[in-house]
This record gives sequence, C-alpha cells and structure tokens, in this order.
Amino acid sequence: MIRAALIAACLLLVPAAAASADTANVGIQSGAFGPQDVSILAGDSVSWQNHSLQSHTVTSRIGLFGSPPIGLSGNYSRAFPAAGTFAYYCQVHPYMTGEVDVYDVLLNGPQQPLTRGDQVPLSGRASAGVSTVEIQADTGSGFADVATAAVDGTGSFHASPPATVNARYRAVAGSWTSPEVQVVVVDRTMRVHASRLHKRHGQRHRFDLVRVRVTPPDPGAFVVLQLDLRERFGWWPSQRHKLSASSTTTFRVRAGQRARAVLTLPDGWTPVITSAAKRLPR
Amino acid sequence: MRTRIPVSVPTAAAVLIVLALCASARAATRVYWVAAVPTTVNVIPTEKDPMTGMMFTPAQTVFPTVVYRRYSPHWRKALANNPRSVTDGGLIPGPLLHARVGDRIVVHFKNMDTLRHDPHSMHFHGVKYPPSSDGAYVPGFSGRDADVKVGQTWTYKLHAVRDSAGVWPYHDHSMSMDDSLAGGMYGALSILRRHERRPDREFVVYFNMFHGFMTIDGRAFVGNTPIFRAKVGQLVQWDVLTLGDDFHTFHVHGHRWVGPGGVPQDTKTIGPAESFRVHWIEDNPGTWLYHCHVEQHMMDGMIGLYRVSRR
Repeated sequence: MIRAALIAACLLLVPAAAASADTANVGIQSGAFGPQDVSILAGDSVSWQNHSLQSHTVTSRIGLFGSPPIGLSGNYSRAFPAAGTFAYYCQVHPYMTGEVDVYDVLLNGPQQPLTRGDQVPLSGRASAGVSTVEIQADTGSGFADVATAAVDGTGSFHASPPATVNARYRAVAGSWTSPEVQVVVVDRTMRVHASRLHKRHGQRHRFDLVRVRVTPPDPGAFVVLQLDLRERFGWWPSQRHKLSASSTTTFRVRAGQRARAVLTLPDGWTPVITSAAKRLPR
Repeated sequence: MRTRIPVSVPTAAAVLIVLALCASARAATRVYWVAAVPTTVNVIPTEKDPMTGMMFTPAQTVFPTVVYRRYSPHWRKALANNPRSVTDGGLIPGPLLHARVGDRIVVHFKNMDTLRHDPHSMHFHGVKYPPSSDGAYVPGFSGRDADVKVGQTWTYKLHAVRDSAGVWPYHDHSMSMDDSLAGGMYGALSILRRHERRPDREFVVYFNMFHGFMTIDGRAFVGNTPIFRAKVGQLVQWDVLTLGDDFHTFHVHGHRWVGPGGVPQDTKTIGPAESFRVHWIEDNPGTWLYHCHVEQHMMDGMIGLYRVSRR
C-alpha cells in the first residue's frame, strides 16, 4: 500500500511532458495593438512588430518590462515565464493599450460555428509536469467533465467531444484552469447545387445557377454568395439573398467562377455555415 | 388633304438644331427621395489587408450604423445608392445627386433611424437655398429642417446656381451630426456646367476615418475599397471629398490631370469638408493604385485599385 502510494507520488513529481515554447505575434498599427489581448502559455514569448510609420513602445503598466522606441518594421520580443496578467501601453501614445494573459493551461476551439452532431475540435497546451487534463463544458448549468485528454511529449493535448448545443469549454489540470472557449452549435445544414444556365441569343457571357437550401427551414435568413476573385485577393461577397419561405434561394453567376455560399447571422456578414468551394461549370 | 409646306433642307436642319439646343438649355427640376436608415457595414469584407497579410475578424470590422439611402418616390422601395461603377455597391457614401447649373434640386428626406432613434437632417454644400433648407441645427433658431425626428419628413429645396458647378459634400447637420459623420452619414452632389460633357465614368472617392480605419467609401485596404474601372478613350471624372478632422492627398498612379493655372498634377491635397473633381481622357491601360498619399493613412487602409482596359 505504502509502496503504491510512493509510486503514485513519484509519477506526480516526474514531469510527464516538457511543453515547447511558442511565440505569439502582435501587430502595432498607428493607433492600436492588434490583437489587443493575447493569451499564451507560461514560458511562451510575445513578439510585437511595428507596421506603422510612427515609433511606439511596449511598456508594462507596473514597470515589469519596457521596450525602447520601435520604428517602422522593427520588433520587440519578450518571454513570460510565469502565469499572470500583464497590462502594457505605448509611452508615446498612451491611449494604445494591450494585455498579455499568461496561463498554465491553454485551450483552443473552432472559430466557426459547428453543426449538431459534429465533433468539437479542441486542442491546447499545458505547462511542464501535466500528464492529463480534464475537458469541462458548461451548457448553462455549470461546468462538468466531458472528456479527459492526455498531454503528449510536446505539452499538447487534443479532445473531440460531440457538439450538441452551444457551450463554453475549459481545460482543467489540478488547480490550473484555462481561459474559456465559446463554441456555437447550429442545427442547420446547407446544400449547394450548381447548374449551367442555357445561353440566350445575344448574351455576351454564359451564366450558371447556384441553388442553396438550408435545413431545417430558416426563411428570411441571409445567404451570401462569395466569389474567389484575384482582384479582391480572396473571397468577395458578390450577392446577398434572403432565404425564401421554402428556405431556398438561387443565385445567377457568371460561368466558370469559383464560388461558395455562406449562411450568416442577421448582420449579413458574420458567417454561421460556409459551404465547400465549387468551381462552377464553364 | 395634306398641305405641303415648302421648307428647304438646310433651313429645316437649322430649326431642328436650334430646337435641340433650346431643349438642352432648359433647366430641369431634379427630384430625389432619400432616407436615414440603419444598416450593418463591413469595413473589410475580405477580412484581410493583402499588402501586409494582416487578418481581421467580423467582430473587428462589422458595425451597425445609420446611413443615407436612395429610395423610389414616396419611399416605397429602397434602392441601391449608386451604380456599382460609382462607389462599388456600398451604402457609404449616400446617393450621388446629379444636376446641371440652373437646375432646381428637390430632396425629400425621411428619418427612418430605428437604430439610434436620433434626429437627423441633410445639409448641402455648393448650392443656393433658403434658411428652411439649410438643415443646420441652431438651438432657438433652426426649424424642422435641422431636426427631422424618427418617422418625420422634410423637403430640401436647392438651386444649382452659376458657381455651383463641381462636386460638393452633403451631410447630417442636426444635433446628431458628430455620431452621424463618424458613422458614414454623408454623400455628394455632382453638378455639371450647363453644356458640359457628361463623363463616361464617374468615381466617388470619400476619404474618412471609420471606427479607427482609414477608409475610402467606408471600406479599408486594397481589394476591399472600391475597384474603379474605365476603358481607353473614356472621359473619366474623379469626385474627391472628405469630412472629419484629417487632411488627405489624393493620388492616382500612372495618370495626371490639369490643375489650376494649367499646371499638371498627379496629387492634390484635400481638407475637412473640401471637395474637388478631376478629369482626363483615359489613355493608360493597366491595373493601377489610387490612394491617400499621407503614408500612415495609406497603411491604415486608404488605398484601392483602378483598372483600365484597352477596349
């Protein structure tokens, strides 16, 4: 019994993983740090790059660190070995503020909403010495364990609990808790079908039809047709339609383009579901 | 039985020409229907600055705001503010109001601001009007023209007089003016001289700060700002305006125009509430940049593409 307890104590003391350090990048524009707040693991570094013509500083609010003036294209890096919250500002432009939040456990979740039935792709990193983390979810009645993830030799861990409803997730290792991750789960699916439209006499260009159906029905919701355009350097919102009473809509598009459909929030911009890209028939 | 009137061919042609000139010289009344409406704009629809590779999210670039919107008569139907060629399809700036010197301009305005529920107005530069069409709020002096409350309407009666030729801003001048200008509630008047040739292509470039971004027509960074297009041989007109607190320097690559005193220019400075137009006959095909040449403004988003095709 005593022997078993000693072995267990040794297992807790021996570092199970040596987390590899990472570097978070923060841009400096003329009037703001971006992102303004950054979350990193203890031992990670932050690198600030100045994209503006003016000189700026990265100066701790409580005197823990301070950069010299950083000119155009210059940068400043600093490691943060221990957990804590580190507020900073620019001495030249005091209205420019930022914050580095340092944790012993970090958790990352999907940026896009998920469809019910998907798996929630969660990943994170933990400080040296952590062998497992508990993944907890709060769907409205408090946090509860939903998965256990093993931490590998680089300090990373992964988990894929099922997506059922909107939830906040966090990773817990002993007394250490990661920042929370909000995961949005939608119960809609979008089907996109492209077909050739017969060229009419005298018509200069050939057109295709892109039909979109969203289920369960969501009449009145916005669907944006995006085109991959060289002159826009990526996806460009070409047309915006409201779904009909039957939860469908049809876009008329120049043939041969690369297109995709995006169901958005009522603001008409924030994506909820993005379809796979399709090359329309020529 | 028809009666044949003996008129020689040259005489008939002369009469027709005179009649045509009289018709073209007749001043018109231009009627516009405009409303202040809530909308949601995305300053960076592609969510990136391709020059630096900096990425953004909708949380950083999507903002609810109130703008001017063109309507069909009696505000029956919301219309696009401008043809896509003029401002690239966005709702900032408001409708481009056209007239010729001598014309009367009637603007029916309705406040449909169900977002902020603020009073609004329209105040026009460059044209003649009575005080009841000034749209400028002065406590104790101004009337309903400067304080159009939600659900109310006002009709502004303007006259494009001899010195009105050019491009001019209009904007909210009610007590909500500060919030409205910061939110994109402005537009332009484009007034031609009586017999001036109408341009084949007209582009509106409105330099303004919007939620910390340096924007052209309410958008920031190349690929997001308007892509203007022309063909070789076309008469192109650039209408350049700004409001707010900053000075800008309008510059188009690969092109020049004739400035005051016949001096060629390819860059021109503009300050708050100033405006100007420049013309040229397009002769240089290619994909060009136009931008504010205040370097920091350019890096913060005031830059776009101008594409000229051969035919």
